[in-house]
Formats: sequence, structure tokens, C-alpha cells
Amino acid sequence: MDAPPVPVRHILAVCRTCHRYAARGADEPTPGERLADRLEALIAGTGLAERLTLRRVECLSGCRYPCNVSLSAFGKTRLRFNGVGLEQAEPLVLLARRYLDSTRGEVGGDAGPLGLEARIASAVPPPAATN
Amino acid sequence: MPTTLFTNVQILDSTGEKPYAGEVLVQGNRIAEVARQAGTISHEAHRIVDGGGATLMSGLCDAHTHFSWINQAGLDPIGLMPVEEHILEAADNARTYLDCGYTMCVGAAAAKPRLDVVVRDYINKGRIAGPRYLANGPEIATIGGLGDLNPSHVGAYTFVEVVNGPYEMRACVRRLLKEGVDLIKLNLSGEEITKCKAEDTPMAEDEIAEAVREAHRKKGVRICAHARSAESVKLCVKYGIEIIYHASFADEEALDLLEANKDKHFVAPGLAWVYQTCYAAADWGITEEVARNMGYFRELEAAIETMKAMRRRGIRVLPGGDYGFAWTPHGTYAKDLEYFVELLGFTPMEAIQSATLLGGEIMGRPGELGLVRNGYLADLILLDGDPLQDITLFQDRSRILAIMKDGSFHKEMTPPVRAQVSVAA
Repeated sequence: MDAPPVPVRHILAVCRTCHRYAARGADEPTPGERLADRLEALIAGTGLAERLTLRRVECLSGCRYPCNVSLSAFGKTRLRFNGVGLEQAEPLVLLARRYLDSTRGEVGGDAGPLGLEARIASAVPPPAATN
Repeated sequence: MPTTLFTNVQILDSTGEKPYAGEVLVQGNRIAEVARQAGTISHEAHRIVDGGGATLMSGLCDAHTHFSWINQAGLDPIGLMPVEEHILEAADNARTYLDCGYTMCVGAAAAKPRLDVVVRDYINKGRIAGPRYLANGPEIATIGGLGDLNPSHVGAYTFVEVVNGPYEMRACVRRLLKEGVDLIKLNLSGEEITKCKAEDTPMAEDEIAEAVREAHRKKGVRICAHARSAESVKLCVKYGIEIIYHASFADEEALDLLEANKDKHFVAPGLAWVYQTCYAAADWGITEEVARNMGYFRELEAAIETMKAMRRRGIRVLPGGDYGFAWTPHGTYAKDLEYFVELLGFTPMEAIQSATLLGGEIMGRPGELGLVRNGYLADLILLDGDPLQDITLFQDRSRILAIMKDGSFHKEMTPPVRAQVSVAA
């Protein structure tokens, strides 16, 4: 694998369009936006804030099971969670800390006790090393 | 002539130079002056935008767009959708591109003959919002080729033009030219998700030659091709097909040919489709196992190595495509820049240059689009952050503070945040 940028940037991506198929008022925030707000509030002012970037993205391809969140970093397994609600926000932040401290994103075992294991929709390994 | 002065910005001009503090004056629809020192440019502008240290750069280019793809899970829906609904969907998607900071788009095919052309024309008239756009027609395929979904016992409904032989090819190209397309799209190879596979090359050389000959009779019209197989890439070089899509399985001979003709061709791998089909399509029945059995993991691996080789050889590789499917939905276009860095080993600067500097070239306006430079058209975006430090920045629309196209704001900064807008009395 090519050398990662220094320092390695960790991204917590939250889909802002979840629930895509639910009716809502014109100015009403989506559940995804509310989830992003909650996560942002939990991260702000903590040591995590300098190491983890929250991104409000358009879609994480999990529209059928909203809301969707992903954890990713160069060289680490990209984890996507679906069916995430506000009550999963705190466990997600805890898991994010462990993800940051992991070598390659191997936090699947930590997800169970936090009630997140069943919500892991995909775990995409990092690109293979180049020859 | 109205003027806008961007002050207190970090200018990322896409020349390869690191961002520098400065000011940019826009006069009418062009960049009139770029200054490295505050106060060099008179502040007697009609509108002053204090960027608060944000990054000012060229708008982005998507080299493989489908305005008329409707986030569908297959290919049937875009053939079956009635034209009235379809034009509205296409117009909405055009706006979404611009909302995401894309000021340049190359149409890679439309689902019906006039969709792209009408959207382009209405954008150019200022009636609807959208990027600068090179309109395409439906893909042209042979019987049994990619896109020929018509069951033999049913009348034609598919989203492509199916032709057989040079005579029909000529007629088809002429029909599309009559509608006013900027590009002609040929399906030279297949696709793993269909019966015509990626490494098949069903179109005959006399059909290709006829298409190129006829299209090039009209000034300014270029050809693009769905070309995954090595053979199809070589045919693109042989017949002068300027824009090559995918090229996943290009072999050494194909790479040699492209390198020797690098100034004549552009390659857009359209990685999102392959990557997301592998990893993000399970909700639509394409699990990783299914994708693997289809051949997409093999193609992803091949495409990554091929694009790395192209980068080493100086072949022009651009981001974009195939957004508009259910698992590559509209609005997520900037994922491509992340793929270029994470999968292909581009530096963030190279990825950005591929989407700006090379964007201007593929749009056919190399001296006018893609750089922040005196005389260039004022297609600019203002970003809250440094994309060279974080290439994912473009994926968050809230971090795109302002979007300017042709000297007019599509999105203006909303004060106060870190900046303010003032209008001269």
C-alpha cells in the first residue's frame, strides 16, 4: 500500500439524507442530520475532536435501513453501520475511540458489548499493498 | 460590468503549487486578477466576499455523468420511465451536480435521445441550474451488446440505440447529431452485470469506423466509448476515440498505445460503480459473494492496477462515473476523489488537478476552465478547509461555502460563520 498521509485522518461519515423515503416537512431536519448533530455534540470538546472528523455525506448506500454511519481511515477497515438511531450515538463514539487506537480498524469484537455488532452492514478491508 | 472580490482566501489554483494567501477579482464572467498580497487589488468591487481563510479553487469536473440515471437498481427503469418525468429527474440531477461544486460535466450517455440536449440548452439559457455540460445521446450498442435488453418477443424499450452494421450506425449517429449532441457514445465492450461481459468486444470495426467518420463530420463532436476490455481500448486508439471509459482490463499493448498517444485521449475509469458494486450493493441483492461471482472483484483489482500504471505513464486519468445507480447515488460524486487517493495512490493535489485542470481539457476549453488564473472563466468554489489535507472535504456539502459559475453565484456564503459578504453602495 502507498504510504498514508501523515497524520492518518479518521472520518466518521453520517448520511444526511436518511431516511430517504420518509415524509417530512420542508425545513425539518432529517433523522440523519439529527444523528449528525448528536454525534457532533458528543465529540466536541473532547480529545476525540482533534483526531476524528465528522462528515455529513449525501448517502452511504444503506437507504433501506436508515440511518447509516461509517468509520474509515487510510489503511484501516472501513466499517458501515445501519439502523443507527440517536440511542446508538454514545456507543458509536466509544467504538470510534477504539477504532482510532486500533492498527487496522479491528474493532468488531468491541461492537458486540456496545450493542453495535448487529448493525455492522459492511466491513471493507483497506486496499492491498502494491508490489 | 459587475465585479466580485474574494479576499482573505487560500488560493488553490490547480497548477500544482501549494495554496497561497491572496485575493481574486472576478469581473463579469472572468477572473480579472489574482493577487498574492492583500490590498493589491482595489476593494471598490460591487461585491466583496471575505473568505475567512477558506480555500478558493476551480469548480470540479465529473468526466462521466448520467443526468438521466435516476438512482435506479438496474437498467430497465431508465428505459421505461416516461419522458415527461424523466426530463424533470434529469434537470434535478443537473442541479445536484452544481450543488456539490461540480461546474463541469461530461455526459456519458442519456437514457433517451433528447434528455441531455434539452437539459444542456436550458442550463445555457439560464432557465435551470446546472454545470457546463457536454450533452450525449443514448449509448449505441450492437444486437446483443451492452444495453440491448430487448427480449426478442417484445418491442424495443431499452435505453440504448441498437444498431447492426455500418449503414444503421450511420443513420443512428446522424439522428443523434440532428438532435444536437456534443458527444456520441459507443458500447465497445460489455459489463459483468449483463449477459455481454466486460471482456467481450461485440462491436465490429466497420461499425466503429462508420460512427467515428460520421460523428467527426460535425465540427466539435467527439466520441466516447464504454471500453473495459483490452481490445476495446486498442480500438479506441486505432480509431481516434477521444474519451475512453473504464479501460479496466487494458493490457501492456493498450497501455503502450495510450502512452504514445496520451495527448489525444482521456481515460475515466468510473471506479465508483465497480467498487460500490463489490461492497455497497447488498441491499439490492448484490452481496460481496454475488459480486465476486459476477467478476467485479477481479475487475476492481485489474482497474486499480491499470490506473496506477496509467498514472505512472502520464496518461490523463479523470474522476467521474457511474453515479446515478441505487448504490452510487447522485450527490456522492466526490467519493471519486477519495478513491483516486486511497485506491490509486494519487496525491490529493493530483486528484484535484485531475478534476480541475484536466477537467478544463476534457471540456475542450483548456485555456479557460480548470485553473484560478487571469482570464479564465469564473467557475469557482469556496471550501471551508484544505482539501489537500482532507480529500473527503468535498463530500460534505455544508463545507462548500460558495459556488460561482460563469461569474454568478449559484450558492452564496451565509454570514456570519467565519466570513462576511458586503455589497458596495
